[in-house]
Amino acid sequence: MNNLVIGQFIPGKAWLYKLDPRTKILVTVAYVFLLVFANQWPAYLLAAAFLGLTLVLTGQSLALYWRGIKPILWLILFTVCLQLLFTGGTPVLWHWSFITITVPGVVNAFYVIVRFVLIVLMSTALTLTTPPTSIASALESLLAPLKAIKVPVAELALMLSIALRFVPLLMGETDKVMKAQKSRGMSLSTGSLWQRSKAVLPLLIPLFIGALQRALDLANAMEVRGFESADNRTRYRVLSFTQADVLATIATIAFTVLFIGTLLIHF
Amino acid sequence: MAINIEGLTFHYGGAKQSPTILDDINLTIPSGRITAIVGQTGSGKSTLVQNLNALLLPSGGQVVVGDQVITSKTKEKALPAVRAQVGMVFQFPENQLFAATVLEDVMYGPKNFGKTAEEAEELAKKALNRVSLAEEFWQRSPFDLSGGQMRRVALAGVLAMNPKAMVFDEPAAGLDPQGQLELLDLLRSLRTEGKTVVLISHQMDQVLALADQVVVMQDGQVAAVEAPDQLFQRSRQWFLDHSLDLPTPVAFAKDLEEKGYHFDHLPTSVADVAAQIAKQVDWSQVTEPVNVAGADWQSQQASQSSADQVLTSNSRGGDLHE
Repeated sequence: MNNLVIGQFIPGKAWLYKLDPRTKILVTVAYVFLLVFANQWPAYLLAAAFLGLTLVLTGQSLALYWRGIKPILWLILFTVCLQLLFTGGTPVLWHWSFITITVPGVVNAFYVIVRFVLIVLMSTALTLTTPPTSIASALESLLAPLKAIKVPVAELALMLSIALRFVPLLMGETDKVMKAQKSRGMSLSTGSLWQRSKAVLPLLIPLFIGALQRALDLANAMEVRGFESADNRTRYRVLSFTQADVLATIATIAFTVLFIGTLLIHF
Repeated sequence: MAINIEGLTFHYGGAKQSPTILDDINLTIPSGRITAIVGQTGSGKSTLVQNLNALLLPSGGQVVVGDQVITSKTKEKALPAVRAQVGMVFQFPENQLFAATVLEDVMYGPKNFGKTAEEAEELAKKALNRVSLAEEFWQRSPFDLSGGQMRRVALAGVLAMNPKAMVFDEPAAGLDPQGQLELLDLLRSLRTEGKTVVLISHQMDQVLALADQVVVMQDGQVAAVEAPDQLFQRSRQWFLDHSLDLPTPVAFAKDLEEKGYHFDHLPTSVADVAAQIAKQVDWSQVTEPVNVAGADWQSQQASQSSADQVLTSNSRGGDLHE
């Protein structure tokens, strides 16, 4: 469970770490948005190049990204199967009773793989180089305009960062309870489906109770330290745009223009 | 049932770069005895005991539990049989409670290990009586109980499995003094029944009072395996080097030895220290009131119990009167 790369922050000193988290979030969102429109190989090629550059700038080894992709391989495989089986059209490559595999199906399946991998790796690059707390405060800053229509942005950002903080805690807790119940003979890998789903209860109940207890403790700890409202708080790390952000923005705009260009030109 | 650990190494994951947590451990945990495992946090104690009931599988070497051999290649199917023989009580075990009633929670283990509902209930009741949880609580939700009572239920949950060996990871942490005393009694009675007991503890007073064998862990290796009265003869510096404490009576005796007192044997309790000092004090010389303890001291100056009192007030835990 500790090998999960997606969503994990790994400290480093590479160029991407110097970027303001807001820039990184905006670039990632723009990238994912643009990819939705990609329908030809030159667009994918360009997107892959941009991603390649980003990954190099994270300063992490490519082996790490491979480890990040591995756990979601089955998910990709599943989507590929759907594409292969349910895309119609001609010419037909192979046909057997109800299974029909067509050329557009294969092409689509390939694109799905590429799109999936590109999106996942880009988001991984974001979370890998940005501490969760920075992501939360960046979101708060980006969503600040919504305060005008009474959206509690600061509270939402605080909730987000607390939720993120709880992820590793809960994972540790799951491991502990799992071991305790295994010692009492719990087995999740035997028995009928009904028995197996019932076997999860001894795991879930202690976890929920533990999480609630922790949440109450945290709320008390915040209150005794004088927490009243998430609004108008000063922070230890003040977000500020630097030259690096200007560079990143220029690169992204250049990429966007080129990308839209490839969409307009038909090869 | 003895547990043999032979050339055990352990690191997380298959990757070579992951740090070695246990490094070539060779150890025998004797049957029907209490073995204490001590060492600073991060020395590998918890990892070691999790290898004893196959919650973790060795990366190298093997663990022999009774007639079962556990290696890195042991199949998942063989593990429940090991876990039925080695019960594990984790730190703060009350966090594992889940069932609707106390009785059902305690029946969970025995049922998992193949007992019928009637048999499991029988075992559960016996175990609950053993941890002295009154019958009125048995049909209540475990979450309505106090922390100490929840701890009892969790202990009963493992006792009810009737394993041949039991591992306790800091079982006394967070218990009140009375609860701690009862727990120590429980461990002793398990030994009397011939069960193999393993105890992780940071409280050297407990270790001295209970253990037949002490295993000192440091940086994933075994630094010493000795009987407590032998181990605690080592120098103060040795204990500092291993980030360990001395038991209160031993520390006190060592202080006095530096001041010229002599002890024929390493004292095992506060009363033992007092008895040995009392033999050496020339009571005819003690005529002036002693400032520290005041009139109380003077009135009972010849009696051993007052020496005991003074000494008790010096000790941190009052649970050592054997």
